[in-house]
Amino acid sequence: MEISFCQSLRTRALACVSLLTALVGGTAPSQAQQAPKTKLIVWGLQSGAETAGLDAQVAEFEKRNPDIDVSLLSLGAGGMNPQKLLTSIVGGAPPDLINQDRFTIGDWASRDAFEPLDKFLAAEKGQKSPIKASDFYTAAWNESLYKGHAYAIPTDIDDRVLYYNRKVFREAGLDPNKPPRTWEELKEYAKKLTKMRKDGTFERIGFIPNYGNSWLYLYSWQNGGDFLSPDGRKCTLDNPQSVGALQYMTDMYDALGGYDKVNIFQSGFQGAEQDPFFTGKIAMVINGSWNLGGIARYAPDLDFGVAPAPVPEARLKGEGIFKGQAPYITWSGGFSLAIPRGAKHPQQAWRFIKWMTSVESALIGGKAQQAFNKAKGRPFVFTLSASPAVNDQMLKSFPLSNARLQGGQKTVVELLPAAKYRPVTFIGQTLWDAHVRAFERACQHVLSPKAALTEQTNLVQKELNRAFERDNLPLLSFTWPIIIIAALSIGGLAFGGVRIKKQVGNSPMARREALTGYLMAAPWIVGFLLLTAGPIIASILLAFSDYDVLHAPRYAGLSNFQFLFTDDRELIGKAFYNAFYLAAFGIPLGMATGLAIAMLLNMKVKGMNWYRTAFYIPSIVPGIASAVLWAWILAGDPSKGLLNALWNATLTQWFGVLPPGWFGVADWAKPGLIVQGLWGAGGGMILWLAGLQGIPTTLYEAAQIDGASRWSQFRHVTLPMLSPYIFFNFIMGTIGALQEFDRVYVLGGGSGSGGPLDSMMVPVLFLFKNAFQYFKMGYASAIAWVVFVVILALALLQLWAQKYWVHYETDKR
Amino acid sequence: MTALVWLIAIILGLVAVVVLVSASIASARVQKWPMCAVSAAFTLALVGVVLLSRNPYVICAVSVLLAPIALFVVKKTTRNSAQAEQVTRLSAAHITLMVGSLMFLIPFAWLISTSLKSDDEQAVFPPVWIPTQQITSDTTKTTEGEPAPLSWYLKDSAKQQKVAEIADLPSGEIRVQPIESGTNVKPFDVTREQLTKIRAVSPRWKNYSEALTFLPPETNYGLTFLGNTLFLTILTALGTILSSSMVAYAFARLVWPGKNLLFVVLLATMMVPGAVTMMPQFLIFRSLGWIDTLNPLWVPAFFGSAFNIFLLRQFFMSIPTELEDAAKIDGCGPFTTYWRIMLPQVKPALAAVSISAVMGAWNNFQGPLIYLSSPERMTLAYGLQLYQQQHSGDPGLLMAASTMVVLPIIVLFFFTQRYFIEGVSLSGLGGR
Repeated sequence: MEISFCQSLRTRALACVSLLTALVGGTAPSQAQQAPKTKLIVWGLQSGAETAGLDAQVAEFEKRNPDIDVSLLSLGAGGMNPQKLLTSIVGGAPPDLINQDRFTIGDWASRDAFEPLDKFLAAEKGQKSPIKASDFYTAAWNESLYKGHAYAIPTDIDDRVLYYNRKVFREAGLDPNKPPRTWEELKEYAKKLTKMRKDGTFERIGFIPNYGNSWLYLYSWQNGGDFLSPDGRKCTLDNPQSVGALQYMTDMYDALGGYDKVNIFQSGFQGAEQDPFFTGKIAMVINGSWNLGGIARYAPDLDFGVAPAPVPEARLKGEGIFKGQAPYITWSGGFSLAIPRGAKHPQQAWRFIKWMTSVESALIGGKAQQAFNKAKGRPFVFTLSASPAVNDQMLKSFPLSNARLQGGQKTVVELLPAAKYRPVTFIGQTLWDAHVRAFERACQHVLSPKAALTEQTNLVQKELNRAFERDNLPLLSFTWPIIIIAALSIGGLAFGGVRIKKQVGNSPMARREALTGYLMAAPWIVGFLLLTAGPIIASILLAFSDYDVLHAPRYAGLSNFQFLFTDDRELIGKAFYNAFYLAAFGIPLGMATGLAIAMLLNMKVKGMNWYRTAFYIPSIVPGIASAVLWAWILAGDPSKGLLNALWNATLTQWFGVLPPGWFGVADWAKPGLIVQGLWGAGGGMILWLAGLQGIPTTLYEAAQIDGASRWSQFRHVTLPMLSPYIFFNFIMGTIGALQEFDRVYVLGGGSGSGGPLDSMMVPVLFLFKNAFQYFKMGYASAIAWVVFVVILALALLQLWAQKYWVHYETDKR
Repeated sequence: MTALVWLIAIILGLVAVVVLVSASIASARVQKWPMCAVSAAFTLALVGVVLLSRNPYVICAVSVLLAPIALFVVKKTTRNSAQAEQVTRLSAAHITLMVGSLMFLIPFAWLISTSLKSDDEQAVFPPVWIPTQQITSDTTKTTEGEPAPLSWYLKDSAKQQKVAEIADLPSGEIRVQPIESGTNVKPFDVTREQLTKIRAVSPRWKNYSEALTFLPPETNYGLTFLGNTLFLTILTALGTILSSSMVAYAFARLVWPGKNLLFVVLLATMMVPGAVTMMPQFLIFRSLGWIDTLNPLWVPAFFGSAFNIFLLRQFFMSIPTELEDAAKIDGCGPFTTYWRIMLPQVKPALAAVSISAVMGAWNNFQGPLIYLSSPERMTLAYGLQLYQQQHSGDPGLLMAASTMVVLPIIVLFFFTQRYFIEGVSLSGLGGR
């Protein structure tokens, strides 16, 4: 009987193992049979309900290339999601094409993440209608070059101009045919066009320096400043012209009432039909050329004008440093198609690029989109292409009946040939983030413009230096660590072997039991070695190295830690501050809520089951769904966010307290997180109920006999008896709070930004960004170890403190 | 700082109101009218102070003053009536529980309500709870052949005329056709501001199907997400239970050299944050070629999880050894003892472990975020986050998608309520 069971058990076990191996091997759902068509996977070009033009272009491509099947829907992967792209390239499964924002091409090219397109371009010579550099605007083409090689082909382009509301101009007594041309005029007009309500809030604002799409880059270039030296080695963010530009922006904000006030007004702005420029809430805005499409769709009746953005008076007159330069400046950005390294179908990808950048496909797409728009009753404003030939053709083939729109479209096209573009560098994303940070700090008067720019320049410069020095660092050789570890393990095994022999001796039964013990514990032992011990050792090694995953790691000594505690100490400090803030407020509030609910339920009121369910269910909602829901409930706009609607209806009406911006405003982001966390705090009530029910009633009776009041009983009986649970919750809560990730990732904006002014940056998010967005795995490992040390210190502290306040029923020693 | 003070003021104020109201109710029930009057007066005074003064400090002060005074008065005059005290407490408990549970359920109501509203009701103040939609005509059609929506057209500032919107013109105006019995009036053009939509209560169930159409075709309207998540959940739960219990038994009952040392190591690994091993693990899985597959998400479960091993070991150790001795006498080896005798003994703990494994796998977000990129391999949690990135401007669709992600877990909860509750109290983890 027993033997047959064991045999059947063994066969069952074998069956399980083979099933598992089959699962591991063939997890990809439904292996497709070898289809004759090549599937071209494109990321970053999202097909949707409104993209009739794109769909038509792709359909025509598939018709002319029947051997290719284009797959466009990637659900947000790639494109502006660098982490996904890097993971796929590193993991060996990249898409064939990526539609990437041009200013990050330098980042990727420098890391050999994209294929250089030289050989494709060379093969173009001699073909009919070849792709060549002269086909594209200088700004577009140069932005896709890195060290002289092309890594992407530009598809579209945009530039920035001043839009102004002529109706509002007339109302304010200004000539609608004379938009401001200089910075001084812009400021004047802005003040004239601003209208305040009696309670001091804005009814209409004339101009907001950074609303729309201008950024410090525009003002800086207008003033003659530049961000990077021509050789790309020196960051010149703090040059005097840029400082002057930032000063101008700050002064404009102050003249209009201060950055905070303007920002509050701005946070109530909506999009689409309710866009503030369309509804007259803002009179002038510097925005991208795409805004014409928005006007065409949502406000075709708008009486507006388009003009180049105002420049410093000296530039207009051509004086001083502006001698010989163009009077008006704009800068352009846009997208381009690149082929990631390791793409499976580069030839087909190149055919797709050729098609998408041709005049023919632009016309086909334009016709389809125009027909779609017409059916919806909207005019068709074509997206600017990176190729002048295409734009000329489009202007001719799709003229707009609306004279204002047509005039605007012509203006934006005219400014393109001389447009500036962001510097091509491998720290493109870092430089952008730094300039945004400097702008925020200067305008909020945290630092003066000069100090803010200098601060960020130093940080970027350090990054630049590190990167250039990286090649001088020695390669991390794994030989010594491997030798040491091998020696240790062999020594350990030998030692263990000797001891085992002594312990087990010659008893066959003991030997069998020991063997079974090892076998049964084997899953954990193997897992520990492979997935815990190995990674821990590797992580220690990485912490002392410079590793960007695409190249071999290089030994960097203590420089990671040095950088962390000097230049980045503000960010890591902020991360820990945020985590502690969330822990300090979230844990006690959560525990108190859970305990309060448990105590109420413990009173055996009627309908306890219903209440218990109602309080418990929110805690089992998936974290992502909860975050998505609360992002909507805590929306800053009272007409969208439920909580702010309630606030508006009660507190604002009675006390005049304006509703906070929650996740959109730095001061209220963490309270928002705490509120969201409290919703799930009801889950803890189960634990408290168990704890409460474990307190013997005799204690309460004794207390009552001694004359203790309810509150006294709570303080002297309930709390001490619950203290083990409280302690457990404190430790787990602290460890959990320092490892928060999911909801701050989602609520901070979905691509891991740390929320406004980094108010939701937490340690693990900071680590994640460095590892998977900035490609600094060595640095991220160093951060991970710092986090570990902090957690360990806190846990030990709490363990030591427990003898002072935690009461265990069992320690009557 | 003011935010904090306001928060405290609101909390204190609410607590005071609840206390005062329940004191009034209680004293009414035991028919001690003077006291009831006093409590009611205090309640009104508090509300009056809150409304008239606009100072959080004043509200704090008044709440802290009035509530204890009311309680004191109640106690003094009912010292011999334990029943009154009991009733006060129960009323307060009931009120708080009712209000509290409603507050906890409101977000769900808002979730469902938002998922059933059409776009033009999403951003209005005051917020709309019952979704309505513009009604359409049965007879008149738009130029595209769809049933025409109906609106009121305000002509001459008094007469309202029912019209059907038959076309949206490129100029932004709307061509309408009056609906009047008997007359054959020609259509004319008006602007959007001159029309008021005629609405009827009607949830927009189409949001749910529309939400699914925006997913890539290879995901079969989201069924692939569900399938992947189920696959991962089942395998993770299975792997966790099997491996953790087996290893736990080895630690609990078997004697093998190095056992105690390894147990201390096991406990130590619980302290290491996941962030430390996140990157090397990524590199390991990359060298195995498992990036963008589901393998990294469930294979580690078969190696046991430190916390569960610890938990189950404690449970195994609490089972009397007599059972094992009896099994040994009957000829069972260690593995058989484990499988047939010990495992059934710790069923409650196993239920707890499986519930937490299921919840963990279902809600796992960081894993898919790091390892997955093709849509056909994504899970519900990750798919929802990417969906939110793309469609945050479409709350109807987004909330419909969220509801569909939340629903399976809630259904599961209702079927396995008992195990949830038991499991949480056993494992000592709550509400994570």
